[in-house]
Order: sequence, then C-alpha cells, then structure tokens
Amino acid sequence: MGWVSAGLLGLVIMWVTVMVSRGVWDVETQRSRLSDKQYRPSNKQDAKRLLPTSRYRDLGGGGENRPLRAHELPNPLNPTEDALASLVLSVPHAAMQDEGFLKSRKFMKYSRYVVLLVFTGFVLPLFTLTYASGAFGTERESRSLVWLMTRPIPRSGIYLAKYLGTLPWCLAFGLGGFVAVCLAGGDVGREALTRYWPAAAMGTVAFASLFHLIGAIFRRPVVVGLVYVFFFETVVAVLPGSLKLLSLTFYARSLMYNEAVSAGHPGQMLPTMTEAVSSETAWAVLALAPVLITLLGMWLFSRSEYRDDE
Amino acid sequence: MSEESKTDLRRAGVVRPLMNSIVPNEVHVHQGGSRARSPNSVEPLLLFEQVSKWYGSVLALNQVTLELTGGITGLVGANGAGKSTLLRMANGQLKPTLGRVSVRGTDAWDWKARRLVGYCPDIDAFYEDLSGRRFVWTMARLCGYTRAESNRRTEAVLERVGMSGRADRKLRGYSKGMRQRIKLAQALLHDPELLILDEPLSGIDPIGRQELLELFQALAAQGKCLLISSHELEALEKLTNHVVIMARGRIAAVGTLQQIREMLDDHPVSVRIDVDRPREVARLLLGLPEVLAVDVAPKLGAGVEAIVVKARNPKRFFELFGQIAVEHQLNVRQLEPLDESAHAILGYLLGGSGRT
Amino acid sequence: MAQTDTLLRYRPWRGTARGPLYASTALARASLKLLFRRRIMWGLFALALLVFFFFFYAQYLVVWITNLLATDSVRFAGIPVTVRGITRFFEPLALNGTAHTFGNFIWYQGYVLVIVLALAGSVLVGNDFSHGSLPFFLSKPIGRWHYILGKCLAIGAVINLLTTFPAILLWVEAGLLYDWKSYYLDNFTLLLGIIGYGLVLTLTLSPLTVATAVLVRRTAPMAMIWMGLFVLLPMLSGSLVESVDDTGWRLFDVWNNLYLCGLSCLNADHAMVRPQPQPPYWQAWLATGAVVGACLLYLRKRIQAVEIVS
Repeated sequence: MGWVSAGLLGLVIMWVTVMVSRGVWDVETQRSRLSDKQYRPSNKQDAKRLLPTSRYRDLGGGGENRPLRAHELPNPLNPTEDALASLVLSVPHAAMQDEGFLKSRKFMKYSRYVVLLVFTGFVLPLFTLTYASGAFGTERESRSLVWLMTRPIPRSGIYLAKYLGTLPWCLAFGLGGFVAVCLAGGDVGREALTRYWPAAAMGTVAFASLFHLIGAIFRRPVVVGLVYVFFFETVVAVLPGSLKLLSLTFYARSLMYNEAVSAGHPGQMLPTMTEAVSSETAWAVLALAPVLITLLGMWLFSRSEYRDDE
Repeated sequence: MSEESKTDLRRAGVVRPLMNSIVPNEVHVHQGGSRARSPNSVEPLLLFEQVSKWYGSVLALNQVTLELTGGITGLVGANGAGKSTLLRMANGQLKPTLGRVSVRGTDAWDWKARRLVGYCPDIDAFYEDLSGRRFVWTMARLCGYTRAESNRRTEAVLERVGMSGRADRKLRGYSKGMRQRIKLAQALLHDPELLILDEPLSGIDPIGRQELLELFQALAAQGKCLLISSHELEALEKLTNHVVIMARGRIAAVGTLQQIREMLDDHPVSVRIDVDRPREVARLLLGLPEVLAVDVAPKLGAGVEAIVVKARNPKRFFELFGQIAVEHQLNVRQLEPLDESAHAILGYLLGGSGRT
Repeated sequence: MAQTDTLLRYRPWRGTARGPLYASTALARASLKLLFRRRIMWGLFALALLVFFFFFYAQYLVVWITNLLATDSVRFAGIPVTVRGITRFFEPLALNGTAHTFGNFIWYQGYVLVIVLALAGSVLVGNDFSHGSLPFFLSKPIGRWHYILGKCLAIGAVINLLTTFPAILLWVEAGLLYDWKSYYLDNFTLLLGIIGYGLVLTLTLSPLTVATAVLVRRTAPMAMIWMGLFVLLPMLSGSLVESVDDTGWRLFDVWNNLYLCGLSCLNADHAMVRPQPQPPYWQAWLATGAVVGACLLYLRKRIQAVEIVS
C-alpha cells in the first residue's frame, strides 16, 4: 500500500512541478486565450504589445508581432480617443507592474487548484481513508483481530490505541503529502505551506478519526469511505445552503480561506469558498470533531462483538 | 428480537429447546478436590447461567448452565454443536443473548475477567510477518507487562511449549503444529487460572500430540483449570475422564465417562430399526430383557418396514441385537436412535471410543 | 447380510464433460452470486439507480415541458419564457435521445462504476488470493486463462448491468417519448452504438480490474489505484490540457478515452464532445488498446509464475 500512496503522491508532485515550471498560475507567463493559433504571446508580452509605444511601432513595420486589431490601432487623428484607448490598453501592463497583485493571483490560483481541489479534495481524504480504515480493516481481512480482543485490556482502550497508532501514518501521508506538494510549488508553495499547514494537520486528524470509526463499524470500510468522500464530501461542497456544515473538508477549507484573506489576498479569487465560516468556528469544529467521533467509536466498539466467521 | 420478547416466547413455549436433554439443566463440574468450594466465599471460576445465543435467527447455544471449578474438562461435540460459541463466550468474545457468563463473579465480557482467562482460538490467522518470539512478546506487552517482564515471560512460555529454539522464523513459514504451540504459548503468558483451548490438538502429529497432552496434564497439576474442546472424544479421553458432550447447542451430557454411561443405562432409548419382516423381528426382540416395548407399525411413512424399540441399557441392547441379527440373518437397512441427545452421546461412547 | 453387497455398487457417470469454457461461465455465475450477496453492493447499485432515474425522468421532463409550452405560454415575472429558456438547464446533459444522451449517462455512471469495480476486484479476485481459495479453482481441469475469463465475465456482467443495460432502457424510453416508429428506425445505429460502448467498457475494464486486483489484492490499495486512475488523472490531465494546450495529455484519462471510444461507436460529432478540446478518436482507441494490451501482458506474466503463494 505504501508504494501505491507514494506513486499517487508522485503523480501529484509531478503535476505541480510541470504546472509551476510552465508558470500556469502566473499571470505574466500565462498564454493569452486568443483565437489565433499561430501567435500565442504570454500575458506579459501581450500587455507590452498594447502599450502606446509598441502599438505605434507595430503600425509601421508589423515585425514579428500579430497584426493589430481594429480597436488596437493607434489613431493620431483623434487625440482624445487615442489617449483614452491608450489609457485603457495600458491597464494590463500597469497590472503587470503591481507586485502585490501578481503575487496574490499566483498564490490564490495555487491555493485553489493545488491545495483546495487536489489536496483537500483528493489526496487528504484518500490517504487518511486508506490508512485510518486499515487499522481495523486489515485486521478484519486477515482475521487477526482476535489476538487483540483476548488481551486483558478494555475494548475502548484498543480502539483508542489503534487510533493513536494510525495517526502517525495518516499524518505522514496526509500532512507529509501536503509538505511535498507545497515544496514542489516553489515560492508560492512555501507560502502555502506556512499558511495552511495547521489546517491540513487539523483536517488530517479529523478525517483520521472519522475513517477509523468507519473502519470499526463496517466490514468494507474503504468502499463506505469512498462513497462518503467522493459523493457526500464533493457533492455537498458545491451545494448552496447549510448542508456543507456537515462536511469536514468544508471546515478545513474555511480555515485556509480565512488564513489567505487575513494575509491580504483577495478572497474572491476562491469563488467556491465565499460562504466560509469564521476561523474560530472552524477551529472549534476541527478540534472537537475528532474527540467526539473517537469517544463515540470507543463507546460503540466496547459494545460490539467481534466475530471472524461473519 | 429484543431480549424480553425472546423470554416471553420461551415462556410461551414457542422457542422450545431443540431437543430433550437427558441431563438436568443444573450441571456442576467439580474436580481437583483440593479446591473445595464453600457456597459464598469463592465464586466459581467459570459460570454459565441459562445462557442462550442467537446468530440472527439461528440458535447457537440453548439454555446452557455450566459451572467449572478446576481440573481438566473436555468439551466434545460435532462440528456446529456450539463448542466454539461456548468457549468464545467464556472468554468474553461474544455476549450472551440471554443469561449470564461470569468468571470468578466478574462478567466475562468485562476486560478484567480476561486477566483470569487464557484463550487459544481455533482460527489460524496471525500477524504473519512477525516471528513467533516477537508475536508472543507483543502479546505479553499487550497484557500490560514491562519490556523486561515480557521478555522473561516470553522465554518461559516458549520453553514450556517447546518452541524456544525455533521461534525466530516468521510465522508465515510455520507448520500447523508450530502454530498451535505459539497459540498455546500466548494463552499461557499471563499465567491465567482458566485456560480455554479451542481444538488445540487438531492438525498435530502423534508425537506432538503426546507432548501437548503431557503439557496439559502438567498445567492441571499446577492447579489450573483447563477447558479443552475437541470433536473426537478419543483424543480427550487420554487426558481427562471428565467431559461435557454438546449437541445442537445444548449440553447433552456432563460428568465422568462412567457417570454418563451409567446415566445412559438408566435412561431408556428409542431406536428405529428398518428391517424386513418387522413382526418377526419384534417377536424376537421382545424376548430380550432390555427391551421394554416394541412398536411394529410406527408412523414413519408409507411403505417403510420398520420397528421402534424402546430399550434399557443401550450398550447391552446393541450387543444382543447384533447377535440376533447375525443368527437370524436379518436384513437391517438402518439403525438409528430417535432421541437426539442419546444419539450424540451414543455416537461418542460407542462410535468414537467404543473399545473402552 | 449377503444381499447387501448387491445394493451398493459404483456406477460411473457416463456423460461427457463439457469444455473448460463452461467452467468459466460457472465461475462467473458463482462470482456474481458472491458479489450480490453483499449488502454494500446493493447500496452501490441503489446509487447507480439514482443516476439512471435522474436521466429517465429528466428525459421525460424535457419532452413534457416542450409539449406544454407548445400550447400554453408561461410567463415569469411578466416575461414570456421560451422552451429553450427552461430546457437550457438540461442542455449539458443532452436529454433528447441522441448519441450524447447515452454517452453522458454512461459518463456519469462511471462515478459509481469505479467504486463497484474496486469492490468487485477485491471481493472476486483479491479474496481468492488472501483467503486461499485459488487452489480450489485451479485444481479443477481448467486453465488459468479460464479462471481469468470467468472473473472477467462476472465483472463484465456488472459493468453492463450498470451502464449498457440502463442506457438501452433510456433508448427505449426515448423512442416512446417521440414518434416510436421513426425513432427506432432512424436511431437503430444508436442502439448498436450503445452496445458497442458497453463492449469497449467490458473489454477494457474487466481485464484492468482483474489485473489490478491480482497486483494489489486488498481493498484499500485497490481503491487507491482506481481513484488515482479515475479521479486524480482526469483532474490532472484536464488542467494540463487547459494550460499546456496539448490534447495529448487527456489520453492519460482512461475514463475519458473510453468515453471517446464510446462516442465514436455512437457516431457522435467530435466537435461536440465535452470538455473541449479532445484528442481525435483514433488516439483514444489506441490508448485504450494499449491499456488492454498492458493488462493482458501483465496477467500473462503472472500466469506463467506457476506457484500460488497465498
């Protein structure tokens, strides 16, 4: 199982590396989406091209640049209109000069796709699911749980110990995966790491407790967990209304969103998270949920019979 | 079904015992006379009180009452008779649907009761990647011992089961006999008063079996109480005279083998004999002193030529019937005791170890 | 008792044993029973039915709205609403009995199918390894390929039960909603296309399921691999296609390849396939063929390793 996890993590890291090295989330290096297939300048080049000086230059020779569109043509005969057009067409270049804007956009794009979508939507739940549900799941599959149950220790203690025992694995692959994904993301990734790691850690612990419970209750915990993650969590996350308050990732995402906003990044760049709850609520839920879920699990487990011939 | 409604059903006679036991429900097993018990001072080591267990709609254990105080007790029964269920309940792996199981007065489900009980399960699943020594050591740690103490105890029990020299290989590569010994070793770790061994002799070669039997005897001599299950009486007979015979979830008989035989002698059995010329055979049989009554036209179905004989002292009766059958060249197609408990007991007493 | 020896004698069976291919069908039957005895399987089946009924009633709803608005005019806040205004919400699903209706249906059914296949793989193949039941099968006079064929048949039956069969029902329903004579005659090729799509799914996913189950055996890593193939790769390849502007990246998405193969069976217009841009059909066929080939090669390699180590 370890190498499967490592493989998946490797895929994600490769993807992040490719995307970052191609500057996909960087507004400067992003290619503009013009219908022209031959000429695809980066946004920075295109913004420069739209400056009055280069427009006037292009008017003469044309050069390697794309021919100017009708509204981009300099119009010296009508100075007022030309000045207005120059002003408007200079906005992209002005934006490119704003370090804060460039950084924020890059960071928020990275947050949106890498952290919120791929990490909290896939890597974190899947890894915690496989490791946390495996605590009892693998013992059940290999029918060796009986050895624990015959020891003179309370059943609730077995449940708790199993949880604490799987937690390092979950953290290693959940939080460790987060660290790896962030380090692959360069500067932006490092900023994401420092801002989001508490949320990632809390999310890991909360998910681990939930999947540990599922592992103790169901005979096929992985299947139940998959249905929960890829139906409930994903569907609920996009639904409007208060149903998403039942989703654990929502709180982890809220924490991340609030963290990003408090660092001065524009929250509108994370459109799925505009209904985020406050940091205090998210902290409280993410801290309380594992405790309550584990207590519930201890209670249920101490009452349930173990039969290997089921 | 809730517990209450089950009780009600039983009172109303809807949930009847599956068969008639020939022993009363109250069963006491006293052995190893050193442990004299006064009624109030010491609780019995293992006590089953009117215990029933349902698996869904299947009744696995039916109103079992049993008391164990010491010595070696054999638990015999066919596959599916309820032996493993009974043993798992004694170890607190299963909860009784009705009734109560206690170990020295503590409910067997409570983890404290497991301090007194060592359990050797019948399943053959381990943490296959551990070595035998590491496995036993881990089990010792889980009993709550310190590292040093765990080491000491691990070596002691491995020595005891004869595995100390070969416990460093991975469990994956162990033979069946070695696995049984490791299972036994982990049950002995915390020096429990009561040892519950589920089929400990299955799959072990004769030499190993002899060694294990000696080990069991040594443990009993130390004052431990052993409850050993097996589906063959012969294996247990070498070890103990004291058996509990189970059939279809009920305790069919309990006591020493002699006691059971005597009880059986006093208890008339009904035997169905499918034979040609039933009237003639009935006449012959009525001449025997053991035969109390013969029904020559039992309602068994159209065209079945059979008689139902009610006889005392079944062992003697079967001997005499055998002689008659040979003398008169009877064409016996089937011979079957109709009473299920008696069937089970006879099966063991005559079939399993008929020579004794 | 001289007569009794005449009563009991051995009479050999005088029939001829049928070929090992029949053993494969028996194996498939037994496997299906094994799968459908599990409650969780029925839960997943219920989820699949949910998707089916959504399409079933939505297809009806579109026709109903169209018919209703042909006679009545609906005003919303005083503005007359056109049919298109209302049915536009359903347009991405193309609920009009065309090639894309069935393509979309099978696409969405894929979300459930992935989990079902993870379960089927671990129950039908993984358990044979881990519970040591493989020797029972292989001690019979059948080859190892017959064993694999039997398992593939069972998995294929499940795949078709979830995709092809309900898609055919949708086709029948579509015919009844419109003029049935002309619909069935004109769109008979669609029926063949649906069957073709089902065939592609069966031929690809069955060996893929068996191969991954043989590779990892347990449910948890099996689920990780499937989720990696069907959730992570689509996520990553989709974003790569958008940013790097090379449709070749989409070929990493196995489910998308199968979708393209299916749509080419259904003879759908390539330019209408969502999400755009898509690689050409032939590339998808090639990629799918490569997946099947790789699975068969892997299985062949495993089969040649004679020993069964449980």
